[in-house]
Amino acid sequence: MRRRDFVKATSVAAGATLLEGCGSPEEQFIVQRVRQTPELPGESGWRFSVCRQCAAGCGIVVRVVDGDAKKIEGNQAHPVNKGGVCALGHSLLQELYNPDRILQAQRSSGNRGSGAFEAVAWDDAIAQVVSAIGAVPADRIAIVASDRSGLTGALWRRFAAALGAPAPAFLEAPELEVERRAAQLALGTTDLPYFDIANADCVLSIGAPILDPGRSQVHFTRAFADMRRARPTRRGRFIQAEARMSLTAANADVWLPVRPGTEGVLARAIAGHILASGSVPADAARRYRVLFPGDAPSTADAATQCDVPEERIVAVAEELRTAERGLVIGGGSAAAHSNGLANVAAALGLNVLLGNLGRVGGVFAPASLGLTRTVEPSNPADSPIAELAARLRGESGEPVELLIVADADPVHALPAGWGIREAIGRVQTVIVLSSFRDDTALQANLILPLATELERFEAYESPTSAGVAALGLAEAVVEPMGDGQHPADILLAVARALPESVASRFTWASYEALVRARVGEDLARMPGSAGATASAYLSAAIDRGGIFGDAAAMSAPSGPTGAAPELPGALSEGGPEYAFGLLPFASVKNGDGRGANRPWLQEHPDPLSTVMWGSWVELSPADAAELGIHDGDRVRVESQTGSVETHAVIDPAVRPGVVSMPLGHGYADNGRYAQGRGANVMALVGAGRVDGTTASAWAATRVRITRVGEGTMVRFGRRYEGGEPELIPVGWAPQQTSQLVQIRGARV
Amino acid sequence: MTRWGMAIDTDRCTGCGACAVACHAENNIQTVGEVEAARGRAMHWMRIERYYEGVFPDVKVRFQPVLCQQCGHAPCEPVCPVYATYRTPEGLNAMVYARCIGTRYCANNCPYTTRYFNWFAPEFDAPLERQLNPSVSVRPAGVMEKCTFCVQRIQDAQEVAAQEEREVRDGEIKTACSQSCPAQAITFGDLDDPESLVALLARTERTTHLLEDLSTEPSVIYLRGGR
Repeated sequence: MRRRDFVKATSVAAGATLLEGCGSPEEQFIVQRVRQTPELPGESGWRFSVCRQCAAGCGIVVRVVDGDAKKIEGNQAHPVNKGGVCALGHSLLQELYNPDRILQAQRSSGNRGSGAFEAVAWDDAIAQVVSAIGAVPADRIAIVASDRSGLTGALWRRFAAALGAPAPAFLEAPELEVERRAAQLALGTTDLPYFDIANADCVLSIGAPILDPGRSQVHFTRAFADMRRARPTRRGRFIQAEARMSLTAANADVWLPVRPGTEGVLARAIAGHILASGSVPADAARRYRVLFPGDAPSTADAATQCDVPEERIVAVAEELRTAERGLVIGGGSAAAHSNGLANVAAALGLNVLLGNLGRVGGVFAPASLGLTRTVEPSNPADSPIAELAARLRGESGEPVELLIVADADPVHALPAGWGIREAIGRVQTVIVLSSFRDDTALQANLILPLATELERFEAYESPTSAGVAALGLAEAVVEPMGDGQHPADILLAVARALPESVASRFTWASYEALVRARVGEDLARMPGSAGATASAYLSAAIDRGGIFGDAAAMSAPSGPTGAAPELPGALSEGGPEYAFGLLPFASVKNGDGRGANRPWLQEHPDPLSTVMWGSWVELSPADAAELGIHDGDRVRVESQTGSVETHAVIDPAVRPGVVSMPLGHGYADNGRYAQGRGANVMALVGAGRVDGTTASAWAATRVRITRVGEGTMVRFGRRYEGGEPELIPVGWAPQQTSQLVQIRGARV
Repeated sequence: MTRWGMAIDTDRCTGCGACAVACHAENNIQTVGEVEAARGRAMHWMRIERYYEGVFPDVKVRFQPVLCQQCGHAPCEPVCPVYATYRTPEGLNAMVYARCIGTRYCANNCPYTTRYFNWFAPEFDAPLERQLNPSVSVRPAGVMEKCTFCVQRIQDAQEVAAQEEREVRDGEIKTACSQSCPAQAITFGDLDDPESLVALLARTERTTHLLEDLSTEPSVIYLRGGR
């Protein structure tokens, strides 16, 4: 008998004795009904929330025991993640309980940037923000925020407009601006379209890092896996054209390691091949020529320019052409060269030739609930972040005397070539909404901490990544650790304390009140709202974790709207002495830096380099041999803009002439787990922009590399030694073992 | 009889590592820090192994999540002088932490190197300890630990089923790694139930075992990729 059974048996006996005469005691007293009453001490409750660790906005459920959050799992009903959670999502718990988290408002108590802060009462901090706003002319205010497409972003636009200040700038992955612009040209969508990868047969991704973090890793990973294995009769194939062996490229069936900046040539040559085959309907060909009126380069030309054998380009073009459901996506580093817009437009335009707009396994128009509609000004126009950088540098526009940064770290994330780090020191007052002493918060006069999404009412609409509209909705799941609040609630508190002309435009008592009011106003347009009252509808939505649109409402994008720029060669920064193209990337380790202060992620090996606790630069074996660099050595990486030191990882999958470094390392502080660890790759990136947009051309910097000396790099895997690629250890050879299984006659 | 097993579809797995972090969160696995990690003491009950094949530009990458294989003939069991590790009737390769005296013979004998030793008492910088899972004990210094197939979740589900006077349903138990997996590459269930999904997957022609030639009879099945 197990101990547990013994205890149960004896307690049944005891209970029966005690409760004699009380009806059937086993029903009322003995049977543990703990699942229905999770508020008992020591018992688990599961509560819905919304993950805000990246822009995807996955639905999560949180296990809460005795008021503490214990574990994060995925909300299966949420169309973005369908029950999955990524590494960064799990680590949200280590943001919540981080030992270095800022729990009270902080005021700079020494020289700014020195890291000396003292606590200040919350109400005093709000008053300080209000007086700072009152003390400067409105046109000398600058706002940097996050959540560009959501309600919080809409509130910042409204706030700036009410103050008469320039529109806010939003910090996001820079290539998204390029991808949106390309989608507008090639597909006629105002936002990023949705790619139905799960139902496609052949997907060509031109640079888009869909399986890497930053986009909507969980959604696309599921779609990718379903494309391969969810359909019994067909297994979809995935082709990645990208200079770097990213996590996405590593999982592709075919990897085309094109020369960086030539992605568009590849796409155009494939288009030329498909057009020449004569299998494209005349209407599709005509629409394609709206986008690219000129002649496409031949596959032979493309082979030379892209440095990929012609037969492989032709094979990919044929596979795409003959697939029943072909699909092409583009973006990532392909969007981050000076010719990025042309590259992505060329990639997306292929979908027009494949005739997959609005078709299963094809491209769909973005979906949104439209809740921001009456919150933001009628003609919302954001300040490009590059323009804000120019203002900070004093080169154009009104100078900045008050900078408000909400839930963003522009000093860390923007290219060093933009000079933010130096310029921010000259701004009179810097107010930062952040829970950690990240690179921007270190420069603040005043830090207002944020509540994590687990401690606050949260409403977040995922930007298009699920194909259907998805608004995650959740109440707080744990008591707040400190004074921090939702950025929207801080904004509302400040606005209410400002003069009547501003305050009167912010009548909502809280962010929650705003969300409830907006859903109520637009109730008739909300999916599944027929016959429900607003409060009942909202309660039901909160009970399942949000408001989710219907797949039947997915619509086709309209198609090309204008001519894309013809393909110029990519320009790069740095002369011949800089021998390598630099490709920064987001690793699942730290993401864009958000994970840097969490021990789980620091000790999580990067899937490809297997590095833990630090940053690295990936070099090809041939280049390393020429430079006399061994695996794990300390090296200096220099560009025209800056210089950093890090460790070398020699990797057989690196394209010679290209090196890569992960984002999100090299913080001056940001807590004990992140402080001084690794190097920030953005310190190398120059000021170049993508033609036709305001986005940073972050893949256009060239660097040189020199050996500094031996290093101690922490790796989970084994080192790459000698001339042979690292191969399977002791006997793991799946094909052979599989043959064994078959020889033995389906033993399993 | 019940025989718990797991099927991992390597054609679905993208190597993102969400399973490994989920495992840390669920099982109170300590992080050891940079210095100890450099000495090879990082603990990952679930790890992603990455293999390269070929040379640029025809290089292929394969990922394989590796955890304790819960062997039917476990090489780690007979070498334990104090019987701290044993085979449960449900096919789990269990650890009794209180028995373990830290000889590390078991780790020495595990061909999959999935056993991890606590060189130091675990430390969680306050208030990180508030995240610890109350259903799982924190292991002290000097004790070996490894994947348990989330035995606490198995027991939870069995208790609920017992209260409701029924059998545990297929799919009712999800290990932390399986629950988290964005690609749904990991399936957990009863290999002795011919109708269970994991048993179904185990019968496909894509089935392989890790180091099958050692005859350890692992309870973890890998489904070959199509690449």
